[in-house]
Amino acid sequence: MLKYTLKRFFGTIPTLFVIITLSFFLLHAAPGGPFDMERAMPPQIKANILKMYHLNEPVWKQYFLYLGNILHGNFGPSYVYRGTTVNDLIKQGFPVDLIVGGFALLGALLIGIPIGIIAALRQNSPWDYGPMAAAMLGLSIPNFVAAPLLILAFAVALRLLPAGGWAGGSPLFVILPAVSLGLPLIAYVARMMRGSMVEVLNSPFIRTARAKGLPEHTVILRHALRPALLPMVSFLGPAVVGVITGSIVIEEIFGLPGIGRFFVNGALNRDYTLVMGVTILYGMLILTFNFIADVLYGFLDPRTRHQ
Amino acid sequence: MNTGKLLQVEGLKVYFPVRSERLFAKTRWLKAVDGVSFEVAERETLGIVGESGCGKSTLGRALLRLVPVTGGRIMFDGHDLLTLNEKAMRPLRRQLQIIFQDPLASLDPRMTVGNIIDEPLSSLLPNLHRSERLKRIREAMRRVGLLPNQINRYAHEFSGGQAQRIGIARALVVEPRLMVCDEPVSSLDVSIKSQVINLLQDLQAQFGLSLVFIAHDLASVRHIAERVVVLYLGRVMEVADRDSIYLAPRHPYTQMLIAAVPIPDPTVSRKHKLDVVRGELPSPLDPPTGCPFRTRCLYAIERCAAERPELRPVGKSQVACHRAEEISTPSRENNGG
Repeated sequence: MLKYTLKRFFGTIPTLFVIITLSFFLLHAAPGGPFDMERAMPPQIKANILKMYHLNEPVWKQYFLYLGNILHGNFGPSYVYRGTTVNDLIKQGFPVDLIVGGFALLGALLIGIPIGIIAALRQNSPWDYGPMAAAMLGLSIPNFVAAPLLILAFAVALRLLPAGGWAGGSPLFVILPAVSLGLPLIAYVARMMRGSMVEVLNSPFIRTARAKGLPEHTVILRHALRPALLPMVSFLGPAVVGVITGSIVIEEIFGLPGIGRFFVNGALNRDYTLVMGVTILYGMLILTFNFIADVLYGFLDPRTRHQ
Repeated sequence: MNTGKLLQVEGLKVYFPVRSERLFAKTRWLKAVDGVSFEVAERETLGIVGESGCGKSTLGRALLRLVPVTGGRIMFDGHDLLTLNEKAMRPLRRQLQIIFQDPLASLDPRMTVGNIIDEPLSSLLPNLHRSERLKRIREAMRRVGLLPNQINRYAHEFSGGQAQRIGIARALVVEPRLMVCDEPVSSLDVSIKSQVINLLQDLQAQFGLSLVFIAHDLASVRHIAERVVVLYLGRVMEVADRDSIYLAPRHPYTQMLIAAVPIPDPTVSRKHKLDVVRGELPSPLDPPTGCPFRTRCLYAIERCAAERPELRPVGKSQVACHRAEEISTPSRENNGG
């Protein structure tokens, strides 16, 4: 198991390297630069600025310079947000996304998985059709529609929750963003859990478990649950991506100080260091969750360990 | 009711609802098992034979109530299994075990051999001490020809034949009185097949087990079964002891099945070419009227379409055929089945 874990861990490093390299060169290949303004700058000043940020060097030289920096954990200064480093911006914004996204994901798993299991156990009954129809609805409503509706209901009409803002992350301000980010996830998780549970319940070894004379709850908890959770585990990686991309929209709607808007603004302004920093952070996050999924997989299914 | 029979099945029916794709269409019923009756005595081996889709696996599972039963009675040791709820059924599950066709798929891949065999023990005999359970597990493994030091291996590390031995050990460990064997050797290599069949026979002799041995060909049943039930489209065509079935088959379908048994000697040619299996199994959703076999039968007459033949004694056998007396039994001297 340790060997398997280490193998998986060292497998993520080349992937991260490829992400860094590809996004670096793609970003620099895009036309324009961080200091191209609508009004032309005096050439002397522009040359000075470019020199300060080493932007006058050949791209390959910049690349190795950048690699050296990030190996020391230094993402460099932001070109657009003058006077702040990318590390500062991430330190400021990332906790916001972590809290909102974490609660959304946790809620989706804690609510979605039981709903899916119940639907699978009561297949083709109201307990199945009801939640699954609701889940279909939850999946079809994009979060930029759900979020304003939630604001309308809970902030404007009922006056229970704030319509936006962050207030340093006080709990009341977290609820609405987390719910609007988590709703489609709950729906997705519930549907997936139902599907895999139904499949597992029909497999021959479940028949064996029943034939052994085990009580039904033992059959489900000991034999059916673990294999049925496997698809959920592999969903973990893509789910994190979903939460991240979703959070960019949610941040905008609720006016949260997360890093999503830095990402968008950075890309529009060719703020190379900022975009690279956020990309690497997202990449690491996704790789980490895929790594966790791999390890969990080995734990849940002994067959993968021996391959 | 005590007739010395361990298991008595009377008019067992298992129907599955088949919903149409079309909205508001009437639900049709697939009669997988349609009024089947038979008995199994203590220490007896009963063979159940039929083509794919004739309902034999469903029948085997219904005996343990692993599929919902539509009607009929299953008397096991004086208990009517179909009237019991799951809780009342549990003590009887100890005496009634089953082994399945696909040995590898039937074992939970996330469990070690020890856990797989332990589970029925700890569930059905919860008062047993851990060390005693371990002793029984090792004993069961030894009995079926597994090495007790393989106890911590996962099921997927074994071959098909070994996996079936695990399945047998799992069923055996609670010391059942009746074991349903649902095509236990169909997915195994020929050489392993006979090993497993011999193993089952040895175990039966040792423990005084009754076996219900389900197979799709008559050849594998011949070695082990004392009596044979021939099933077609969920109905019993013929019941007879082994010798009568093989040497004097009465029902045209039984004759067809026997003709389909491969003859190992290539110099022997078949006497009647027409005897080999002909035609396709009709859809069980829409079985023929009257005798279900009449669409493939060489001897079918008008009466066969109009009137369903009931099982009745003919000679030493029970046969469901209007013309059982007229149909001559083909001679089997030259190939020995």
